[in-house]
Amino acid sequence: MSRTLVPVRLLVDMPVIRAYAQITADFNPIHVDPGFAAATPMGGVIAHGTLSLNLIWQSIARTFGQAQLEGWSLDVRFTRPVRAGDTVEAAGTESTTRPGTFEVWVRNQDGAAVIEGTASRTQSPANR
Amino acid sequence: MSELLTFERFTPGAGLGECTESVDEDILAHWRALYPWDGPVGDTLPAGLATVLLMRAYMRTLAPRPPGNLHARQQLSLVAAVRRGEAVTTRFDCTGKELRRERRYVEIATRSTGEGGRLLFTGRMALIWAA
Repeated sequence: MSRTLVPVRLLVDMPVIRAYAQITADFNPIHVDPGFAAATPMGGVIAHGTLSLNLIWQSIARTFGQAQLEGWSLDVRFTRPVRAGDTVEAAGTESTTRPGTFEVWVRNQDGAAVIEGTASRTQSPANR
Repeated sequence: MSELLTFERFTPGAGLGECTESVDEDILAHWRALYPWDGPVGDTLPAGLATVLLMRAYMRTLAPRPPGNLHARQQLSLVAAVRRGEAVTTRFDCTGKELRRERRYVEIATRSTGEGGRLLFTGRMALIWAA
């Protein structure tokens, strides 16, 4: 039976987006300027991709323990924008054809994937 | 102010520079506010803060950028956990660029090392460049 990752959920509103802009120093107007963002093909403010990507790390940490994250690799695509007001949830399930590799995703409240990819432990933890 | 870093200025195979960042108490407080369930364990920072360090270094090294760039893909391998207060230096190299369906794709390889030069994480970013 395939293993699954413990889900992690986050409500992404404008205060969250602004706080994430602050800690990453990423004030790209597509994230923080509604006027600018409305005039782009995105049609409005979108959240930073890595704001949601972090939930995948947290999902892996909840499943295996934070101390076990060394040696893990993620490879993901940002497939759909996250809008202010969206609730996103990260989770994953072990591949049936590649044991040890997890198909991972972040989905919005409509069930649409905003991030998709894989996570796997590719090496032993480093000596600390 | 430096010249705007446009798509035309990227040269595959060329280094883009490096930058040193660390997670201070202010960043950590914001992180805890965003993700209250994901704090440090002892001296070890959560894995997501590696992403924060990467993005902070990216913002400072590849600048000034045109507004409206989009993050399309991210690969990241965690070799060792970042320690609290550790200075992390990230080097950026352009590994490719391509025009696809009228979109300007830039690919960047990253390598982040901590104190004593220990390897912490490596990655690859694909971005859609706005201009």
